[in-house]
Amino acid sequence: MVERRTVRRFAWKVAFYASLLVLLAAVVFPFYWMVKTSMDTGAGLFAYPPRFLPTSYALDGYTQVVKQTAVGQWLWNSLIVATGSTVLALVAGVSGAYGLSRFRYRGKGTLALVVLTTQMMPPLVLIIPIYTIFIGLGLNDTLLGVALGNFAFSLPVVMWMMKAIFDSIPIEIEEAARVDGASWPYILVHVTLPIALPGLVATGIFTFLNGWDEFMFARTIVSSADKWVGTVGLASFIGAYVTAWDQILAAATIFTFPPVVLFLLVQKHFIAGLGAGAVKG
Amino acid sequence: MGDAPRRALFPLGRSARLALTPYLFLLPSFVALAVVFFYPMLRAVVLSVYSNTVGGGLGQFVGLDQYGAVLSSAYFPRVLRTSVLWTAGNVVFVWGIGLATALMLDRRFPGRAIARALFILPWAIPYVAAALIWGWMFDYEFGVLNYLVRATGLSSQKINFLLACPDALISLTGVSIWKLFPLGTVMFLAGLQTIPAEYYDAAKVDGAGPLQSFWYITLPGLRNVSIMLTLLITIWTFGRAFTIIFLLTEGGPAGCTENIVIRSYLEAFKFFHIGTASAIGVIVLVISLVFSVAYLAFAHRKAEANG
Repeated sequence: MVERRTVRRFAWKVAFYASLLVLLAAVVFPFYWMVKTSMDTGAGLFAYPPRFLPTSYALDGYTQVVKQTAVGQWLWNSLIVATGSTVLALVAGVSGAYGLSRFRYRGKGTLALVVLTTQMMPPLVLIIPIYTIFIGLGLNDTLLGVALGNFAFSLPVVMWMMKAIFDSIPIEIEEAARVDGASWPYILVHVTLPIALPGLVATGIFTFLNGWDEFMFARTIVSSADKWVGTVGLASFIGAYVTAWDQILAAATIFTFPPVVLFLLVQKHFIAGLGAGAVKG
Repeated sequence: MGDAPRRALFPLGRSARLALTPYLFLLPSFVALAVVFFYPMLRAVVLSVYSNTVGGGLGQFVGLDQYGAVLSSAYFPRVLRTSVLWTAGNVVFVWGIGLATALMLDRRFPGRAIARALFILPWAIPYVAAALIWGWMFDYEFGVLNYLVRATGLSSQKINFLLACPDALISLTGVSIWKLFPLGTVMFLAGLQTIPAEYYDAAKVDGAGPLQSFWYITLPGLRNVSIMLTLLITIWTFGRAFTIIFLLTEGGPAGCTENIVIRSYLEAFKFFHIGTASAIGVIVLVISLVFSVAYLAFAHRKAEANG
């Protein structure tokens, strides 16, 4: 009897680890293949059957792509756009989420739903009118324009996530400060936000990655090559020189590196913060 | 006397100012939402009832003719079907893989933290980079996937991952699922942690097996997360599926991966039919709204019936 249970437990464990490893391998393989290909030289690149271990650790792909394209400039532009849109989205979004979470007023539930409806508007159709507005304001073909667009596109999700985080913080914590005569903005900045900090960090990372990732809007707004962000620059490889996969994937690796490192550094907080929003929302 | 000018500047009493406070907090964000979402959407509605012009200005007022033309066109049933298949594939697999990985990560085992980070990694990769990697792996001549499917015996012949139908749609849906499932993992993981451990202990005492525990405790405990996840993935993959398809096939081969979003892109930026593109966009919004309202009503009614 005891023996049968031990065998079953063992079989269960083997099945668990086997499925875990197979799933992990499938999820991680594309990353491995990207980095491996970026270091291959011509022979290893087009070998058949493919070589699963790196045939070389050549950095030719990297030096070539840095020399021949403005990949450094693209990264810098992406950094400006992602950082700018994150700061703006956090300032406006935190204030808006606080307004949606606290207070009692008419139309509160409707406003929260209005934020959700923005997620049903296809961005593509919004871009045409936004483009016209931006021309009027002189914002087309500027990084500021791209950052402003990304800011607004991220805003609903920031509001949604921060509202859930504020909802989970009991209002009693604020009432003591309220009795002492502190203003609402003071309470938000000095009492509530410090408690919400992990969630705020998670939301900020979410917004930053959104800005780093955005393609369609940047491609429409920006025309001059010196203002290309990373996504637009990378996309320009498609169809341009199809066979230099080591260079293309070197550029892709460079561009993937910052968000992946950022994510790995904070993933614990990120998962906790995003999770809190998910459960409440 | 000294108070008089101050009073003129702040004519509102304390209670009136208190009543205004929430709106002041909301003001910056709603102004931004109005400029980037609501005004452009309204503008799209206006554009959709005028005829197409080359310059992008308003043509003649045509009422609902654009809608009639889109809905009765030869392409509309096809792109709608592609969008529905794409959305359904994403929802089912993001839900399923998300739940499976969350259940695995919810257990204690050595290396759990590393496994968790790796499972969520695809979420951090930019879509454009993902398109490039998968484009190379899908390559017909040298792609690693064509080697793998034959080496593992999944297929005896090379697969035309991006240049055949419906293979291309399946391939692209796969890439999208790979990129999106971590959202399911994170949300389900958070949901699992809200289910009290005592429930499982009590079920064990009552003699429930793991399957029964899963069915009667885990699934109902994940109900809210599941509703939210399904809704978000549905409206996002229906109305926003663009980058992967645009970069890898641009809707081809033979329109096989052309969904409703790609179609409105082509109408706007390839054929310069701004009115038609706007009408398609409004149709996407209406479908999403109707679906969301119906889905939420259904989910809540079922919740009430159960609870």
